[in-house]
Amino acid sequence: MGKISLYVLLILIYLGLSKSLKTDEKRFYYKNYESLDQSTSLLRPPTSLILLDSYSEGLILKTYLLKIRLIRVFSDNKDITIKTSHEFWKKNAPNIGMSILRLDEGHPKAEITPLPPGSYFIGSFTFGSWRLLNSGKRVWKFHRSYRDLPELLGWGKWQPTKDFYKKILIHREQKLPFYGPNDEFGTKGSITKANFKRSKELRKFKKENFLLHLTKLFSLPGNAGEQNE
Amino acid sequence: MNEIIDKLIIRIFLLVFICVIIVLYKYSHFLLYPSSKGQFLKRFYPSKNPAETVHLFGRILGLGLLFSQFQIYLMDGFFYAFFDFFITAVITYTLYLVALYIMESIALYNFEYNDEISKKKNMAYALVTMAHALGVAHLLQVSINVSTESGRHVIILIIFLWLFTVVIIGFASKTFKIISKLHFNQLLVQKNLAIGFSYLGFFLGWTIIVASAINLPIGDIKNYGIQVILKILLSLIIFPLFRWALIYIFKIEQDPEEVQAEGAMGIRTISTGYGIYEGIIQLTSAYLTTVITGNIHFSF
Repeated sequence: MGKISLYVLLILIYLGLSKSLKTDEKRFYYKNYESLDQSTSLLRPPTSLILLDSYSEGLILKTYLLKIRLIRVFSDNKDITIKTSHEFWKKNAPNIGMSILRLDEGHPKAEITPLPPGSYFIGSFTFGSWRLLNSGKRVWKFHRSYRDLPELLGWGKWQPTKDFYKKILIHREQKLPFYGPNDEFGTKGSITKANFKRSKELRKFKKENFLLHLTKLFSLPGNAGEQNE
Repeated sequence: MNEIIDKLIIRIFLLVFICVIIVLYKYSHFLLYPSSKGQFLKRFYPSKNPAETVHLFGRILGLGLLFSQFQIYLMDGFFYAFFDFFITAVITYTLYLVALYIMESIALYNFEYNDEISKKKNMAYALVTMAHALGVAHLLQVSINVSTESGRHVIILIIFLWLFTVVIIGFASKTFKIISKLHFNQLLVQKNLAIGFSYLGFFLGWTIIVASAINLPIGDIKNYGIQVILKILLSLIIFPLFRWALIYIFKIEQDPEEVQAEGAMGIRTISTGYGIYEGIIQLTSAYLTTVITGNIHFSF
């Protein structure tokens, strides 16, 4: 009995020390929007937070993680990974590729309605202007100094139109999430899927043909197959 | 042809250097064991004292292990290559002797070399000192490898790792009482080979675990220290499971009371077989433990 207690104690010490002494741990914990909003070190207004990915780690005891991109207009942009609560993680499951938080200068509280990425910038003449196309549509074009923003926002070749902007304004006022007129944004959105590679896809095990694997394993030196490689 | 002769001369130079180190050991033996002064100046007859042969060749084998990890690169010229080698070799050799002295002060504080080896020809004692010599040499060998691979501050890192490993292995050697059912001091006085084999396996097992733990690339010293400690703790969790599994799989009966043999003057004592069993099972479990703690590479 004494040996079993000692062994259990050893396991607990190992788990405790591994958790507390994990020196490469640089991920902060944010339980919800409020705690994120209060993080002055992260949010330097004007800032827009784009959710890049959400995933969990651990087999039995899970850690819920969100990978977010901080688009800070007057300071450097940054991709960070934060730990969060299960509720907050679940709530944001459909919001990948979306702007989940926007903080404007002079506003004490951040806006947290999930909107398409770049909603903060569209319509603000500080960042760009509307251009008239031959088709008669008006599309948003960033100024030269902000030409990197469409790539950071994951737009690809997509350009927001004036109608799109109007819909953003309506949803913003009603505090309702907006995933685009045809759900182009969000976790299942076509534009998001095309422009943001999720960690899940990157971390997928490479599928290998078993027979080919077996042949490689037992290949003889100087084999034709080996030479081809 | 000239080039081949040059290379041969360099190799012979190195051979002479290592032989000088071994000669140095012969004389530093008097420093470690002042009571044995004059003993090595006489002729050495291995058949007369096998305990001394085991003790001495354990040390020499240790020196061999120590030097097996050295790499000599002649790209920067002969002088720099041998200067670096000379400095590192002398420091490592000194650290090896100091580590042996410390280990023997911890484990064999009740025993005197001259009494046990020269007078009593105690083979169990010789096996214990051989365990120390091989274990400490292996740890230093891995320390040299890790320090050299880091590419900078090699000497300082060797000293740091030496200190680190000596502290760990010093504490580890004290766990013999917990792991083994044999009484160390009592059986060593009785010259019982069982304790020699058991301790040999135990100490080499610990050496393998510690060597596997320190065999990590050194970036930040603090992180490195934490990783090593965590790896040793993990080994402490895995090790008893393997030991238990081996005992269970082979249905090993391990009660030392039942494996007593007739000793000198008819006194019942522990049989050598039991000591061999204890030593082998510690060593095997330690090797298997390092597979789990060091050789599993997670994809993310």
